[in-house]
Amino acid sequence: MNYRKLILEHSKKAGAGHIGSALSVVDIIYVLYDQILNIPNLDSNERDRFVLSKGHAGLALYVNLFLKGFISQKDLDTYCSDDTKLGVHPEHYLPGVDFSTGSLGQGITFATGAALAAKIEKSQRMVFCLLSDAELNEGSFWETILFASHHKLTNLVFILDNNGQQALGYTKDVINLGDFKQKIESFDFETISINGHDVESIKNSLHNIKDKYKSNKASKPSFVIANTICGKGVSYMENTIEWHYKSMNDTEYTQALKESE
Amino acid sequence: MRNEFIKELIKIADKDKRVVLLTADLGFSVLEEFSRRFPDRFYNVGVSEQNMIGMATGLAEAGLIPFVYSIGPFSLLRPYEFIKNGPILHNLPVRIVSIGPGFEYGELGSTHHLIEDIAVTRLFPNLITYSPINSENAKSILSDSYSLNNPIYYRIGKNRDSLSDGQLYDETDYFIKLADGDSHICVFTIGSVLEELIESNEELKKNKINITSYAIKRIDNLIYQELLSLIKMYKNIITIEAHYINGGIGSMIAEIIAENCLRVRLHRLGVRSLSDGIFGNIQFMHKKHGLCRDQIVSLIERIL
Repeated sequence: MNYRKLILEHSKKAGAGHIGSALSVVDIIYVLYDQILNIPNLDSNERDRFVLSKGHAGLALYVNLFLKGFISQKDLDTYCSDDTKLGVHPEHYLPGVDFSTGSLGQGITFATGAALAAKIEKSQRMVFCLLSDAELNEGSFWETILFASHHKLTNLVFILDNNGQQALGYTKDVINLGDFKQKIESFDFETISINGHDVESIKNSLHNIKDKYKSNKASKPSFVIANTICGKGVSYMENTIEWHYKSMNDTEYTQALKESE
Repeated sequence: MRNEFIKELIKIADKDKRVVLLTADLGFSVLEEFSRRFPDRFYNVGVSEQNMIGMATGLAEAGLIPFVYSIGPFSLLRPYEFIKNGPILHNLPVRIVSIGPGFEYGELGSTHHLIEDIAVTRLFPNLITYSPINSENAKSILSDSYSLNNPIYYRIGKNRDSLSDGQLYDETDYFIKLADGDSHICVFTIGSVLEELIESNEELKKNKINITSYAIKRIDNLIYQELLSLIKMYKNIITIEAHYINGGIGSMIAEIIAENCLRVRLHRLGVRSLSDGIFGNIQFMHKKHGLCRDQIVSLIERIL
């Protein structure tokens, strides 16, 4: 299934922005739902949790909830229209969305709590949280990774959408994060870097983390730095700031579709 | 009150494994027994209130009942947007415990006063606020409410002897009747400033003046109807609160009077000015803001 095409179609139909962010994370979310998350059913407390802390990439989540069969084509077609449950930022009222997000720096703390809950309840379920690199500007990010590390929440996996961009500029120019792999490692996380658009690489790294946890070999929470490109797959969107917000005109849409084939 | 509240929580946690207690590094000499008894359900998250509320949201989503504990401004105002998007938006049973609201931490200075909380909590349609009047009341409120499905905000006094301790009062779901009166005046108060009201009632009694007085125990969407049925029986309503005058219980009652076109005169006692940097104990702060016994007595005498 061409999930990039689905993102483009529904962005165009809704006239909505945040296309670049959705294209940046969609490969990661696809692998999570296709291969990694254990969701026996949506009401089961034993299901793995997924938190899209960068809620503005909600369309990439909706597309995958659709591919997984949790929401219908009819639901997906309501994206950003009146009377929809599918706003730009996902809300828990929609089946398959565990937590409402959209305010950066909050989903990550929900995820830490969800991971702690599993430990308290002696459950083997895992929590995966996808966050943006701009989200590292939030103080709550550092609060929550301190807790997760101190309490060795080995069932918690943060995945950083490291596309180097934020709303008004490139992260290196707005608030330079420097060598954050080294920073995160110093917080005692199992830290790896991967290509966030290489499905095989995402698959292998997340399977490794999961296998290590399930076989009781994990001693730290995990942090996957997924190197990504904002607007990946559409040449004129890639690595540009404007496509954080813009919506496509007809010509741009035609070209984007062609490139995503 | 806070010691009794936590002792009751320990009893509850003993029976109900869903109860988890988080603190943002406060509660010295209060929380130790809980932490000793339930080490796997007690977490000092460090000085990180935003993370504490966010984590409580994740805990509650999984079916646990997390209590978050700190001094008032830090458990409620610091992480306010986390409360909005966490327990409120998800309608999860997170319990926010604010210790020492009003001027209970008088001499600690403005950062430790909580005179904004009613205004910012009563606007959430699904949040229940409880404001017990004494230790016994705090215990019964906790055991009756802890497992409700809604998010709850508990305003809990710190370790002060209360005038109302050990006394029996008429209690309904929303109010505690502190005194019966025979005039056209009715007084409403909330939190520890009620002790000023109890003292003023004693003073007035010497002149054979009895004023109907209520402490507000619970605030939620249904209190407005309950208040209306009381207010319309009187010509004068007085509200006394260690809270900014805007948004608190005086404002609640003003809204009811206006919406129902009641012919009632409302006299609001509350905080009308910013801190001027001069502090003292709770009684000093009450007097400074026109909330002390003598000021209440003189207002009532003027009305009569």
